[in-house]
Amino acid sequence: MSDKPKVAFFDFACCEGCQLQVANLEEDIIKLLDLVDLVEFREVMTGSTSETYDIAFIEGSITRKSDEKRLKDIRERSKLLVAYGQCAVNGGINRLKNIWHSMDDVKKCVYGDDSYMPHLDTYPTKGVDEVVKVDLYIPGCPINRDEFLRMVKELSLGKIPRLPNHPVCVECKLKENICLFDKGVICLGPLARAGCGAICPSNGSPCEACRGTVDNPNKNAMHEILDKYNYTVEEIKRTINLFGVNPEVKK
Amino acid sequence: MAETYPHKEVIEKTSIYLPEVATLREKRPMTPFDTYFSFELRDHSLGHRPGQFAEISIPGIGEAPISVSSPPATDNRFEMVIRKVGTVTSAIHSLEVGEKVGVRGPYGTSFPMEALKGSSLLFICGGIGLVPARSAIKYALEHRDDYKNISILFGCKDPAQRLFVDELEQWKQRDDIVFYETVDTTDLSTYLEMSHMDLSYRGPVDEWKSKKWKDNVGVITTLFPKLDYVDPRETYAIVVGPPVMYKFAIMNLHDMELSDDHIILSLERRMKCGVGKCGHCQIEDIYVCQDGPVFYYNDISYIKGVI
Amino acid sequence: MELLKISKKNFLSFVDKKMSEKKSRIVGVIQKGSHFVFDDLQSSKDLRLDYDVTILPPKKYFQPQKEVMLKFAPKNVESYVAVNSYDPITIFGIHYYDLAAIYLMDRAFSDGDGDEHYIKKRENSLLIGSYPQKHFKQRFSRSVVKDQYYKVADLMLVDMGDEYVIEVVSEKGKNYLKGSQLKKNTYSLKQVEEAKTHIKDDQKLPVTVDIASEFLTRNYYHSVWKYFGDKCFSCGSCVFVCPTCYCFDVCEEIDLTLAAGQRIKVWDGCMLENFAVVADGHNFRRDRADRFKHRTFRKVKYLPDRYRYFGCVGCGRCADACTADIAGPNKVFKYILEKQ
Repeated sequence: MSDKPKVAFFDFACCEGCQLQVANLEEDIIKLLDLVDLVEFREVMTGSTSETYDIAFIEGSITRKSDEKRLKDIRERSKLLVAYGQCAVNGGINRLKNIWHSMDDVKKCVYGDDSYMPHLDTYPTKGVDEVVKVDLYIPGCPINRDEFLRMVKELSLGKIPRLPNHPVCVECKLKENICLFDKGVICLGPLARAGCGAICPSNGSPCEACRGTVDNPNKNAMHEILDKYNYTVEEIKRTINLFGVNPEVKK
Repeated sequence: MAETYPHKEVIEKTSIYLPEVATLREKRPMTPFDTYFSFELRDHSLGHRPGQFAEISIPGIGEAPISVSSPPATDNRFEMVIRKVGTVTSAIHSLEVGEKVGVRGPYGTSFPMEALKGSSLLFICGGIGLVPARSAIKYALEHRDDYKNISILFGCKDPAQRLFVDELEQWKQRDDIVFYETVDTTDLSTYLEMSHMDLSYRGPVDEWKSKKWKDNVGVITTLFPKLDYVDPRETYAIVVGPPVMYKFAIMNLHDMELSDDHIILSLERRMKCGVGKCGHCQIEDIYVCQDGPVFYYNDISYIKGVI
Repeated sequence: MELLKISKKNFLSFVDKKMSEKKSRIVGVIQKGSHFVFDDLQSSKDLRLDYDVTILPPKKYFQPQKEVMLKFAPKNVESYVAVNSYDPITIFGIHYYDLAAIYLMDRAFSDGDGDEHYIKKRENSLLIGSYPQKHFKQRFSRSVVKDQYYKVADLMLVDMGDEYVIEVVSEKGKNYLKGSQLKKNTYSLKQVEEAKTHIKDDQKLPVTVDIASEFLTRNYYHSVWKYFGDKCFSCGSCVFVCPTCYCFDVCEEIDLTLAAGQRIKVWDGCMLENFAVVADGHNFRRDRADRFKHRTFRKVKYLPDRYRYFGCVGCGRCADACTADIAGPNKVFKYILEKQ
């Protein structure tokens, strides 16, 4: 028992969909428990059995002062800290609110008359690495279970897990999908980081780059394509930055 | 329901991807990130020629191309110096004596030691480039009478990154060869940049912090003026080093009127399969793993960006 | 070459019979939405020999997207064992240009140290080729493929309307036909030739194959590389759908128990950013333009230099798959010629 890494899961501002991905590993979760010693995971167990962790998995974005304190505390007690899920990686969907100039407007829009209540306090969304050092990222909304398992396996073998640096188009082609552009649908596949198995395009929905982009996305080329499809600047921005991808092109 | 294919899985006895087993017999750190390894194959010699490489693997971790640094041997041993740069090389570093690795090879072209008989040799080695070059240097020293003048220039970043230090001292003492070495800097701060690496072995760092470097300081080309006259007709230069070194070394050799067919170099690319299939090491129409890693410069000088 | 003929109805019964015999895996071209793919046939009715082009070429049967080469227990070197997985396979309806591509792959995988993983798969295959019966706007095979497809095909089907003429190319193909309702060919060679070539390509390589390599070499420093490179997503679509792209990466896969693992080949391509990265992180083809140029030169110069056959078979898949609309090698030639 003792030589297995102590692993804990924590969540911040998120839908908890990523921990659900882990909890839903079905029979694999049993094998996973042979590999690691699960000491804290709110979705599947009560309480905590350890004060320190070999690996802390952090889900969700940071949206309040109190979050920062809690996160820093976890970091201090963890050897390795993994940001998993796009909210933790870069703020994810939550980051959309940062486009607004005032958080008061955001609160008013969402909570109406109750927006002044103290428990609804919020500040512009941060990814986990804007508060503490992150050792490993597992992107996606939600995370891909196979990728999660691969990373755990590689960590257990002492390998440094790496993310694919090719676009979703690769995985889409391997599945022999009909390209969505052929159907007149705009898809962010050519920019987006693969690793999801092109799950959205395979099921007829365009890629929204929920795993962020490859290291060097050719945004210029994407602007050209969107322009060809008569997209306005606003539409281009909205298409590209749903998951916090900066639509601006480096000059 | 579609049947799932294929159902037949067979053992492939003659796979070019199947490694042999070698046992780690000796291991010692050379710098904080370069370690010397001596491996032994079970029942035969590796059968390599100087300059060739082999694919070393650990199941579950992966495979990496590594230059052989020992000269051809009659026994089953071969030596490598491996720099810790990635997952595979890190895993090899953590092996204990007696543990095993997978070996495929030897692969690639070699330094044409036979063809160079009767000529003078000028070795120009930068940093870890000394590793493949050493197999040729040792070969030449073992067959000293076969060659005219032998000169060796060695440069590395700082005193703590020198490889094979005992041998460097021996070469310095020999009077039948010329040996000069230099360091880019005596400042050891490069180590700080590399601090993401495991620095549990600090030997040369600590040593050189207390010692003073008395030899040359400057890039490797600053050693060229120290050489006596080099006859361009009977001298062959063997150049191995980091990408940035080749350009300047070749410029200097041209100044010494060495022609391109008297310049021999060893190139590094991502030699993934080692057998000319996977495409990773291709530069233009050349597969480095098969047509190289050792080239006569005149065979590749037409390729833009080759060095 | 022996010519036979068979009615289309009898041909379909022949396919059904072969399927019921279960002596080999039977693959053919079937419809997938608005496109076509090679897949296992469920019934001869699904076979669509009137297709324009398939999304992926048949290379996937000889170099699978994920191919297990070795099995092992992690960290146990003694446990390495090389494995290969294949069944006897018969593929119906491979267009002649895809056969030409298979010929090229055969050369590559048997060159030097042969790759048994590929060779065994090929040895256990029977290839039944055909000639396009439908236009495809990106195709320019006629201008780049000569007759190298006859070197790998076992049988070729020629669509004569209600009947197929069968070109019996190999002994293996001849044996495969035993027991089918074949007749002697009654068409003239001219009629057969006309049926083989009546679908004209919409595109062509703007220069002849013989001078293409030299033409491109002369334009090594042309602005075309940057122009197309700037538009390129480096998404790899062009190389994954290409029938003559066979580059691969080697990866480890480990079972969740950590007790078993395998070393696999997976498709890789020179258009992807990390393809030419070496251990210390240096990227030998960092710029999109360099990668774009490398791919084009590989098809037009490097493969022909090595194997004496043009490396592009003009199938047009890359041009079709390319979102930026820059991938067709003929487009590079066109651009250079227009700029001169």
